[in-house]
Amino acid sequence: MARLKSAPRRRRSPLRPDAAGGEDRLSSLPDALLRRVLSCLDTRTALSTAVLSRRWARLVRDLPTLRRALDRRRRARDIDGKGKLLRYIKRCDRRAMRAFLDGVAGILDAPPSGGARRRRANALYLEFFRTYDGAGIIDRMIETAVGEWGVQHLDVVVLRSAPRDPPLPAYVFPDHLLDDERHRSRLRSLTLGHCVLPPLHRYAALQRLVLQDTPASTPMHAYDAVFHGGCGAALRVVHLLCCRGASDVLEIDAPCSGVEELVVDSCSFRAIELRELPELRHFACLGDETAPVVVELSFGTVPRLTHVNLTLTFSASTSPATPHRVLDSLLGGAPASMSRLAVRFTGPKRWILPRPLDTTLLGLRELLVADVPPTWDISWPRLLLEASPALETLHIHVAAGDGGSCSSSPADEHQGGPIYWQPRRKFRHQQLREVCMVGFANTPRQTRFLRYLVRVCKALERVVLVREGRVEEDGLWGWKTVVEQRDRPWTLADWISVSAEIKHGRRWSKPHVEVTLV
Amino acid sequence: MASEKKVVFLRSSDGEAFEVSEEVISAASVTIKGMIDEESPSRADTAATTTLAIPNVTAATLSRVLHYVNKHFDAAAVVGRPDDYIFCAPGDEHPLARFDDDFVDVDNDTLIDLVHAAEYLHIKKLFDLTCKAVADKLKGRTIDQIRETFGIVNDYTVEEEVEVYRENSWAF
Repeated sequence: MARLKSAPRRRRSPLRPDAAGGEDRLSSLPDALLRRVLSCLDTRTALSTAVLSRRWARLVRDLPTLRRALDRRRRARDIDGKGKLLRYIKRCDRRAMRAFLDGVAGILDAPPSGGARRRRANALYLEFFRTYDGAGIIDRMIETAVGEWGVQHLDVVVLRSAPRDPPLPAYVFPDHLLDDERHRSRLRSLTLGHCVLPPLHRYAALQRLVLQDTPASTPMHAYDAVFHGGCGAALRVVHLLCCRGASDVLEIDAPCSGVEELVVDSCSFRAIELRELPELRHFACLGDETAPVVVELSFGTVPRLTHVNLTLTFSASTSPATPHRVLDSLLGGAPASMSRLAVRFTGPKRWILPRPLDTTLLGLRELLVADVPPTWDISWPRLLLEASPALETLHIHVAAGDGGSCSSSPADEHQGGPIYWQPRRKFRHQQLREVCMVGFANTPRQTRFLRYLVRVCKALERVVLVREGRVEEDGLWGWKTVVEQRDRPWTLADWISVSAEIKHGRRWSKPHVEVTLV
Repeated sequence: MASEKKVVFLRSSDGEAFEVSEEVISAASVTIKGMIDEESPSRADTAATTTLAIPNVTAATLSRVLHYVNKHFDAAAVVGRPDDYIFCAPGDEHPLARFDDDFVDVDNDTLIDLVHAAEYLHIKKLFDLTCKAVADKLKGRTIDQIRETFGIVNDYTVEEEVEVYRENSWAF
């Protein structure tokens, strides 16, 4: 533990009698504490404190994380322009890149001054543009960082600059400079953005791998090789961000892989087949407006999969004619081990067809239906409810309508087509205990859906209705409901009418259900 | 009497005693929890309340720390709300975000006293918060401004200073 100076020291520097604080209180903190303070700073500011005094220079040399990104002030915005503007952007990019390379060279070429210890670092983050001649310096930086400073977490992200006249070669990760066993196996986590992929199976100690912006020419076996990194490989976490590949189908069939977490985010794949991933526990498939949407998911042997997140959107720009999907194409064949599911299906029109799911989601206990667009019939999660007999909690978050006019017009006009449910008189749900709806505005559709839930769920104990709030993601697979308290509280009369409406029908009554309005 | 809320007294370095609920302070501070656990065998039969000496922390700092602790660790403050829902004012990420911001908006000396106290008392949340606040004070200032604010003396020779600038050129 750190030593503590019990009383504030009254050492006054004779050189600075007029200084504001007078004494050097900050330097009275022990090294460990100052390191902690430095680790809260960005690398740039932290390195600049080396100039303060010798002690600070020594502390800065041990900075565990080095982030070297392009200087945003010197970098022009990514605008597609013509003529002068384009030339200007290029000039800005070149200048930013030159400053970047100078900085890297400065830290590499620093002589080991007066017995100072060598730099040590744990993590290095580099973000830069492609250049003609700079690659050598970056190669050396990576070599020094991994080989000499002991970096274990390396991020190398190449950005796309303004269009260049002659196309520049892609940056090649300097695999050849890393010594075979010792240095390569030091890397615990690796992020590669827009780089030519090295033979990844050689990095045996890698636990976390993030690939982003891989070019469309990447052969599909390069992805497959990631999961096949030898039996018993350490790799646990794989994220694919904006990745492209030669094929539209990402197939993963790796019986020996130990991968536990897989995230496929905004990639170009339209179908994902998880043939075999024996250790997979967490899976997320995310997409936004900019990328084509995954339309086909198939689950093979994934016996340990428990947490799933599906975030998919069809917007007018990516798919002019909104294709309709049945839930089976996404969740058909989902393993019974799946216990927590978050779905966020969005788009201007509802694209999930109200066709019952063929698969029974036997293990599903917690379900979040996030950001239901106001144009969607709120009752669509019935499909999931009817398919998951073990469901215990259901959280639904209704996205706010345009302009925040969620309160005044309860009319169904702008709410998109309703779903006409086939009556299933016999259906009863035995396990659901809690329903929470965020964005509750007491519209007829919402009330109707809640009435349905209260009627068919025999074990239901609690209904929480939140007018304004949000669902805060806790990682990709967890969520917390955050209630924003505004000055429009519900009145007692509201509570009585809502509660009466959803708890009692003509032939049924559920007086014990606790309804909370917040 | 047993079900009554137990309190402990904390005595600061300058002799002032502060009352705090035992449950709250042991949830917050690892150090004090350890002290209470050490005391408890001897305390079990006597009804006397414990007074713990906190020799490294002054009264002014200790009262601030306890203010923070009561805000962050007192579970009673959120009674009557559905559990596992977070309540906060619109626009805030965290219910106590605004409180935290105001809490560390103090002069340098007070802040550094708080860092020391948080470290000694082993209150992780407060320690993180105050370290972050010190870091924020360094951010966006020139080297000369930092030297002046915190009274740091430049002990470099001219040649050394040039060298240090060169080595850390990516910061400039």
